[in-house]
Amino acid sequence: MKKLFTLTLILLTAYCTLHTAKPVLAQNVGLAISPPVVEVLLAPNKNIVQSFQLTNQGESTQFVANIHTITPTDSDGHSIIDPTPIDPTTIPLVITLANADRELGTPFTLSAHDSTQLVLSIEGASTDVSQDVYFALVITPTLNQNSSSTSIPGISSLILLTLTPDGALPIKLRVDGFDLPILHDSALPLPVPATITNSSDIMIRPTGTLIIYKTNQNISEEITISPNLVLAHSSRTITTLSESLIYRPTWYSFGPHQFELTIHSPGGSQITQVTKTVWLLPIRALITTILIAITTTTLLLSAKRRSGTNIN
Amino acid sequence: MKKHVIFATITITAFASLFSPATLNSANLTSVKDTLQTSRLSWGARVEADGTAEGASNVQIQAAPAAPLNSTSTANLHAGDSILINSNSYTVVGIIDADEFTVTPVIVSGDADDGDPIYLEMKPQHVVTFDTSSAVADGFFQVLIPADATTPADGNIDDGGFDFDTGSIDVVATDTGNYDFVTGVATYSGNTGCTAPANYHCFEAHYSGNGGIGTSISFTIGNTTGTNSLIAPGEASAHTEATADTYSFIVKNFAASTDPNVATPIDQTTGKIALIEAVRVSATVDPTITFTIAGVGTGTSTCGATPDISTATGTNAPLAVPFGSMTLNTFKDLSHNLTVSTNASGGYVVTASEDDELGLGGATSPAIADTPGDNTLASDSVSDEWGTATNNGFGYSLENVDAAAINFEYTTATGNCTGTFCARQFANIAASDSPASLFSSTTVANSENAYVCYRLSVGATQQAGDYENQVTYTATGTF
Repeated sequence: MKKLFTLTLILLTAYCTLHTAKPVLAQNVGLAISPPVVEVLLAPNKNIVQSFQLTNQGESTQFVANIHTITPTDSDGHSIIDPTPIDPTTIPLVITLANADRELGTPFTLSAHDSTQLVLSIEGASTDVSQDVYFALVITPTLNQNSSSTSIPGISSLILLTLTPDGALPIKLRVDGFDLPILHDSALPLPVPATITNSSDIMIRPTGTLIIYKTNQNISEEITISPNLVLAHSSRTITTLSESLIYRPTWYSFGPHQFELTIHSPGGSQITQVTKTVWLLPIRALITTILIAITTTTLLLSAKRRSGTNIN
Repeated sequence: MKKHVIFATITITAFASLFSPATLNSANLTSVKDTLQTSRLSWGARVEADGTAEGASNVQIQAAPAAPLNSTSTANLHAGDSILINSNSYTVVGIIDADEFTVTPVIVSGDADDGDPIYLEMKPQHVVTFDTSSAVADGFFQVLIPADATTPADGNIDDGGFDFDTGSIDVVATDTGNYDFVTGVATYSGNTGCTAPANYHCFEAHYSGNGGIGTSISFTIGNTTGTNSLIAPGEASAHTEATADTYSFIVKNFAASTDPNVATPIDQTTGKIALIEAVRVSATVDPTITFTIAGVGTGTSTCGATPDISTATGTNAPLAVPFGSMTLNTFKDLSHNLTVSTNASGGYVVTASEDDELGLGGATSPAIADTPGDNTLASDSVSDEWGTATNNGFGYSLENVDAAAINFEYTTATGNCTGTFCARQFANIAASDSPASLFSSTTVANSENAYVCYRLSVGATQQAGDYENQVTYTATGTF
């Protein structure tokens, strides 16, 4: 009898725990996509496929993939994505998902911490003129609606495509904002502001160098410019591989210095070259020296006067 | 008796010889070694015109060796190497296969012909170290480095030894003990003062002082920057890939004022140098971008205050923004933590937009309007101070944790915002607003995050019911 009572108690306790299970809470929702940016050169009537690896870093849920247009927002390479999926008739491309079991705009399930490959098929329309099309593959989760506001994380991969019938790409680049002071303190770094403006219909990834010459044509420093992509009819700030374009003179770099900025095509041909002259002078050191000299002279004269007064 | 005399004479002679041993002209310097800055062979090949064209970046090398450029494989070539084709400089971009690679800039005129020489010159610094075995006063040390028999100093890669290059070579011996060195002298093989032994470059360092026994001497030839340094040999004519080519070097210690070409050194030791192809290690890291939204509990301070409701727990957490029941003309604050990582060199940007204003039951109207701010200046691009709860609406602010750049923060005092809670409206897609940038980076990012702080207040005239909308955050790579 005692054994039966104990067994019943254990079973009841176990049963009750099933009704008081703690809810599992999603601590975060995350998505990853690779690659984040793709550049494509495509001929009319030709087709390419590009695969994207999508990883769900949160709980199992449904996702939907769509194509959206993008617009450059600044000269640092950032862009915003049009919130509405693209109207396929507005672009000279036919874009589909090549996955057998998935379509653009149709939800698909991705398990927690699982990855899947989305294969995008892009076919160029018939055209006689080279042109660029910029769009993004955007993946967002689909949520069950309830009476609450929600936030949705979206991940995107930019697809920057040049459609060209003959591969002959026009280059219309110019350097803007290459404004340097006439005088600069040699003790301070000198930021070199400049942007590359692309006036053509085709994006380009130009290279370049900033060479600083002393007047005797000795190269003081040669800085390699980062080959940033400049989209059609947009501008891009010129940077080095790791930071903004800054020249750090040595403290003894005095006199006129020529700053020669040269931009090359990806093939190495020179596109444009601009030159500015900056006088580097130890301005702070000179001011400090003059102030010390004036102070010292004043003190010496004052001491001399006091000495003369005492003798009298 | 006669036998005894002969035996005694021999014995005495042998014993006497021990008191006057012959002079030993050459002893061994000990611990002799030549440590190269890199043991990588130079690389020299010739252009195969069939796979190389002017204006293109592809370079193909010939399959048969043509001395002294004996390389027929790209095994010793790496991306980033600076090479010469004829006298023009190129940088290796990538290795395609065993006999093809790509360069930048593109091949110029005259560099795509059959047999054009391709050079990758390695110029390692030599650090020759040894211990003395005799105390030689005011003498000098000579280090002999193997040279090619035909063109030892033409500035090009040789296949029989180190090339002297066309300039001077720096030689420095470090002062130590009873050795006070003057600047060393370098002479290429076959030049005046460096004729014997044949096919060796000569490097001398003279010293003043009595010298010493067992003193460690360090002798550097060339520089770590590659300037004024010897050019390492390329593959020898009988080279086997992945097997080192070995060369002998000699270190000698001479007495003062002797001619090293003819005099016998006091001490001398021969060592070995081995050069081999470098191992090319390659790995591919795919670019990726990761974006995470995490809920924020009520114990975490964000935008200057702790949230009233946790977004880390509850239904649809962490994506829900559950303001729940509102008290009239009272703020309620909630937060989310947005995190981005990317190894793409261009960085990322995170944008935000709402599908519409908070609508009753998700409908368009009636709606809780987006915040006007305290000065009715708030918009999706302009911040306004928002500290008066009777100015009803829905808005947000940001607090940067470690994002490289953020569009604004709750403390950013600008215009009519004093910096207590600077708020903006979400970009409203239904009103044709463009998504607004929140935070960004122009380079790789490791878990850069920022808090989005939602704020809501409703007035007495707001129709009762459940209001909702949808805010979309999108992480985008930078091109």
